[in-house]
Amino acid sequence: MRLEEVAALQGHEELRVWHIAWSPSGATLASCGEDKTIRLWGRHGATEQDGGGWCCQAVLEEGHQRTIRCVAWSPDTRFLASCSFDGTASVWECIENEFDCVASLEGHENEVKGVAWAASGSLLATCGRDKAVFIWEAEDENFEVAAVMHSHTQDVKCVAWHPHEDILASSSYDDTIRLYSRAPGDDDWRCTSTLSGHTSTVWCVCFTADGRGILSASDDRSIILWEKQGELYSEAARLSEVHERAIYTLSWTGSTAHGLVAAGSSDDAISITQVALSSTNNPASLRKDGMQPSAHQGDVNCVAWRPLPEDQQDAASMVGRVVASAGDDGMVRLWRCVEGEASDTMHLD
Amino acid sequence: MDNANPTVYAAASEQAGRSAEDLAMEADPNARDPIDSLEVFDLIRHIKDPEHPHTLEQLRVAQLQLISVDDSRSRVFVHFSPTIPHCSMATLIGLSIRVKLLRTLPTRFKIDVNITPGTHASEAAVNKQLNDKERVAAALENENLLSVVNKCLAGVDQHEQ
Repeated sequence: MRLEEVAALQGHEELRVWHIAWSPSGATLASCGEDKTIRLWGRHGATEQDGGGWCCQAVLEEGHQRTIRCVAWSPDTRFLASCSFDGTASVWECIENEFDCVASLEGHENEVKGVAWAASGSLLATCGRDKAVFIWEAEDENFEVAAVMHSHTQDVKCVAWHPHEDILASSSYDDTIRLYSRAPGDDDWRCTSTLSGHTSTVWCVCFTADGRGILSASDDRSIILWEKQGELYSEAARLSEVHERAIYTLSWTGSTAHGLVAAGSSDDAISITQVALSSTNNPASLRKDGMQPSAHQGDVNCVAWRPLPEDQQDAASMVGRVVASAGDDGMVRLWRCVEGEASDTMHLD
Repeated sequence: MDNANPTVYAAASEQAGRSAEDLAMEADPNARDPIDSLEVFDLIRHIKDPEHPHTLEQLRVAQLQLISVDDSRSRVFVHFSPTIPHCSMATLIGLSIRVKLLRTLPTRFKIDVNITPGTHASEAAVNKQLNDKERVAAALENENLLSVVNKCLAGVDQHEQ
């Protein structure tokens, strides 16, 4: 598999872009970074094949005083959440393409580094340098703290929800991943397990399509697939030395049994790895399937597969799928998966 | 103050360590001039210790032989040696070195700043923090910390003018 660049989106004043997030339909891409703005990218015209036509449709300013580290869409696309080094998270409501900042969530002691919506849309998680993971309960525009967990012993880098259950994963500078849930009939959130296996900061964690697998990426340059066996997740496959330097980000696309994970690194490259979850006859596996060197002129901070339209979500083929990336070079790039070997990067800008 | 009476060493002359051929190439505006360890050393040697009126070179916190550069792969590796193993300023010194290099080297370079093995009690913890880009980025948005770093770098900038 290789990646073919289909669009290069410039707008963050050449400052580091930290994070990108697709709206659930894949129509809009939100990006955020060091310039303290959120940009919303969409396409005009319907020429899906040429990849062109992407442009910045809105800029959200004045939501945060410092770098915006992460953005996340609510499952119904009504809200966009953002979090910042300024210690707050903000919630923006989108009505007819107009965004209003409707809530500022204050609770973390300092930098907030990750934000994620649960599939139900009624729970929002944040994490930060204060080693805490917060769960906020949303009722329309009101957000109340439902839980504060201090399980990690260091900076928490990333939070991710299970695709359909109220199970939260967080990853940290303490080299571990923690999982949280509520016991049936109990409102209290608690840390239910700790996944140890990485030997340095775990920068990113995500679930596979049905939540049976968890993927993690680390400063130790490896990707680990954790699988649920019985009640607990444990290491099922590992790919070492995927990149030359720290891996900051990964994103999953695929079915319940297999898929592709894209990963971005401080070595400026994006890698593509084939993931097979375990089946009755075969153990789980990770197999490197492509590498796009010099994807950005600087670290790749975030990658995100574009959601497939609903009628194509069971498509078996990975060819044609689109992944977005954000980098230290201030760029957001869109790539299409095509058959074949990687070649030298020809940037569009 | 951690180390009230550090040993102060003489600083080398600016061009020491370059051959005549190197100097000619440095002077030739048309030659492709790869970044080398001497240039990196020149960028950091005049950084001031946060606690002393001396430079990192004078305290031998920074040394030419602790720097390696791979220009073709755009990699810079800098080790620094705190004057004492419990130096509480180690992170700040490392941050000052990193900031100076981030501000002056071409952006294509990947910069790794680490404590010289065996010279500090909390070597692994300091190294991890110094090489966490997110923590460095957040630290540099903190105006108090940034002004302390800029104070360490003030001497360097004067020297360059």
